[in-house]
Amino acid sequence: MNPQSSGFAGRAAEYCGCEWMGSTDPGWNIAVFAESQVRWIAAATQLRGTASAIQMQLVIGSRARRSSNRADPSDPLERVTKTIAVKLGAQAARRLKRLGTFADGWDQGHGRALTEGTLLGLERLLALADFADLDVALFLSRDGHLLLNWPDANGELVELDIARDSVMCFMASTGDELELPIEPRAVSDLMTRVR
Amino acid sequence: MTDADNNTVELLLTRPLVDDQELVLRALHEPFWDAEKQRATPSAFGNGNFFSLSRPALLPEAEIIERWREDLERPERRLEALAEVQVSVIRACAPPEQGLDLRLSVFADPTEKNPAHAELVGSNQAGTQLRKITRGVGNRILKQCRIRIL
Repeated sequence: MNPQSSGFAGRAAEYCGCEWMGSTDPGWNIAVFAESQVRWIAAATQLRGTASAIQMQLVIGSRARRSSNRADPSDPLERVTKTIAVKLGAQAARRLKRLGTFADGWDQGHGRALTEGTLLGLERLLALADFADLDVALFLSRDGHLLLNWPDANGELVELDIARDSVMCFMASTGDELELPIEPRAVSDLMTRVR
Repeated sequence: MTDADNNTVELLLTRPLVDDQELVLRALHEPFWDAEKQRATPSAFGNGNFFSLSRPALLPEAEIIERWREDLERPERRLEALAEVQVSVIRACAPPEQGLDLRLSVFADPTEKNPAHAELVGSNQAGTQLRKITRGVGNRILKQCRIRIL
């Protein structure tokens, strides 16, 4: 097992592709690192003919686990938190992280944890809509969906309930609830109506 | 719906009603409440069938809050505010003339932990089937509440 790397310098080295530089073990240098890589390739090659899919996964998975010390760009919560920090600000990013900590059963047994679908929906929505001049707050629904709400120009609340492919938009000014696909035209029309 | 479901619904909808003049309280905490924005979501009272309330007529408010803290608070989740509203005001948020076929009722629902517990329930006007309290109605209730920061 390779030694764990730690600290900013280690993570920076890992991100640069210089995994051996990220180690905190004094005996870990580029030669040892190269040897370990050769051993890993040999093991994988040797197994290819004989190993079951599960055994191969164990070999490959050990590398994947080692890489998981760094921020995982495939983790939707991590990824969307970064996006939301840029699009909606630091408070929204902090809030999203907190909403991600609620486990199933949070509302006296009725609430579901934040779903991956709602994160993917929000990611698409953030790519299509401009929320820059809106005072957006984030909440979690009992269904595990993200809720974004803000006061419109007349101070009436607008709330979006975000699913993977669609949003339910509630407008307090009219009492209407509309379901719309997260697609460029629909989102553009929606955002002109709800300011 | 099975017979058992029907029996459960009947039991839920035939509990003693809380008097129209009584005040009821609802705990506001994450994720329904955003302390930094000082704002709640209409889902605190809507987009569901049942909502927990407490009756200060039966238990001093300080004791209710104490029980909420024991029941709801976690190290990372503080009880941050409460919403106070009269039962008649809640009921008026879904008037029959709007044709929603939604009746709002507040039932006494004492529990071992909270003898002052009550439940806001949405049903059809006949009181025979549960109905979802819409976000619009939830927002109307929320707007009628006096929000107090704890």
